Amino acid sequence: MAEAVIRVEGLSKRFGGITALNNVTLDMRRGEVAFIVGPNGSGKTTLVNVISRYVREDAGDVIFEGRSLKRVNHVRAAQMGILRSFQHPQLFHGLTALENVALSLALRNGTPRAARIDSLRDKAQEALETFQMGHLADKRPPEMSHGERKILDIVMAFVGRPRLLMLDEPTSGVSTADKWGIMDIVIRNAKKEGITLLVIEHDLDLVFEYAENVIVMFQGSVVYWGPPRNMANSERVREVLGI
Amino acid sequence: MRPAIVLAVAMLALAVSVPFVSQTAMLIALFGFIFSITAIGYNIAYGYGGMISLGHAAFFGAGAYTVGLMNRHLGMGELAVLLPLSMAAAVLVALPIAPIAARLSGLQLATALLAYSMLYYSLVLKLGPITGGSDGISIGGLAVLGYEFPDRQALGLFIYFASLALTVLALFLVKRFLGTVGGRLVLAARDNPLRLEFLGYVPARAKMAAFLISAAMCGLSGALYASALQFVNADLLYWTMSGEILFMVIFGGVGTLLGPILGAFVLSGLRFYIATTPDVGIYWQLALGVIIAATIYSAPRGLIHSIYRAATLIRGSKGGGHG
Repeated sequence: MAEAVIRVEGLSKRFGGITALNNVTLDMRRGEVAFIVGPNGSGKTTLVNVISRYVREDAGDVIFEGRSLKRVNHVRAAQMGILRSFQHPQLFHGLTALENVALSLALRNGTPRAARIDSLRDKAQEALETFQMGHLADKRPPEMSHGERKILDIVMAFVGRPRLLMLDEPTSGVSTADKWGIMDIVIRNAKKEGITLLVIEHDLDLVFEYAENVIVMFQGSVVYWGPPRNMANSERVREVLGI
Repeated sequence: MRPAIVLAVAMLALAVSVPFVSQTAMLIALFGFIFSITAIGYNIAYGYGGMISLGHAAFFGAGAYTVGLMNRHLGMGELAVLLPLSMAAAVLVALPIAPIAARLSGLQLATALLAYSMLYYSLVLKLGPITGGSDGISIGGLAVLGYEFPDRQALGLFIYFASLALTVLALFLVKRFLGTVGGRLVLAARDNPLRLEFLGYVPARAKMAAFLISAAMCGLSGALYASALQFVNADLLYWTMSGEILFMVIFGGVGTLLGPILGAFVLSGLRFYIATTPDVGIYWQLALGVIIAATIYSAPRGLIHSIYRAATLIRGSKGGGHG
């Protein structure tokens, strides 16, 4: 059996009186593409927040490449290769798309701070081209559409050479036509680079098309974890997802 | 040749010729250039690093008092030593507060720095025997590389050209710095510190670096100011001084290269007018308040943006004529 890149064991998290995560246990093998689905408030983003170490669990543990992340914060987690994108794109609005990507590259490569940002121009441009964003290189985020900003957010995470990449609703607010394009590029590149990919997604058509495994969450608990083809067999899943 | 280069060369030629044309113009421009260095430095913290400060008087004052104290107690007048020393002193003063400044923002940050700078103001007043208290310190016997200035005019001329050269150098270095990974990290830390953290970088590092560079430049300009006046007193450390520095940058254009210089010159001109016109002094604060309000209302992004916009309009109308 392939080595687990990430394993979460008995994760629980409460915010006041609300249970965001309830004894969640799952793992992902290297290069796996898994999707998390579930209604709003089911704990999807909290799970990603805990794995990326932005939020601390009340109980349980996150084990990344065999190492507990109990004492690791989100900055260190990113340095270790746990990268993510955000539901609302998190960009540097004063920098061009190219510079946004170049900065991520510089941090990943440990480029000396005194080096010219232009020295990373070619690589950043190449990354943008890969995601069909090459023509937007000199645009700043405020001049871009919501969908373009979402892709830029993903490119920034991608060039950081993640060992685990988590995308929080990469296609929300994007037109139906563009959704497939974005997801196709993301999955193709993740596969090419051997990146382990965990995606929060509402569009079940995309999930059925691309997921190797699906995690269905409801009220903080995992109600299904397995390949998409068996999902519909579960009455609980049908009830939760309304399918 | 590009119009911007032609304009830059013309401005430089004008700046070089000013002392030989008019003594009054030289005095205004002298303080214009000194405060340009202050404002360029402040702009690194505020404009590029996003750290609004009401405490930069502490760093300006640290530089000024380095010259004053070294001169008074050690008889040192060598500017080649005093100027770098004043930068180091300003960094030393900024160092304890820098980690805090890098983690706070907005009003919290501005007031924390205000309180911090006022500590130095009180300290200077309390330590009268050393600092001269409210009387300040007179400075004499200034020299550069062993050459002692025979009179005030020679000293003024030297400080003028030193400040001009340092302003140009500061502009060049800031522009260069902004093009580096480090410079872009400062901008990124201003725009979205959380995103930087999720890329594995602690934004406070870039902010701290920006803050210390900013302090060093304010220290240098403080030393030039004290040398030009041959006098230093506690007013330089008072919070209104920080307010004036902030005003220069807002007036000129926050986060722009040339805006702070423009702001520094306008304020120096105003200061000169107030200082040389009888019975105007008491209206200084009132006039400043009205000017600030009018500026923020009519040119919220600073005067430099209005100039750029006007230039674009003129170019646009010319282009339209040809088309």
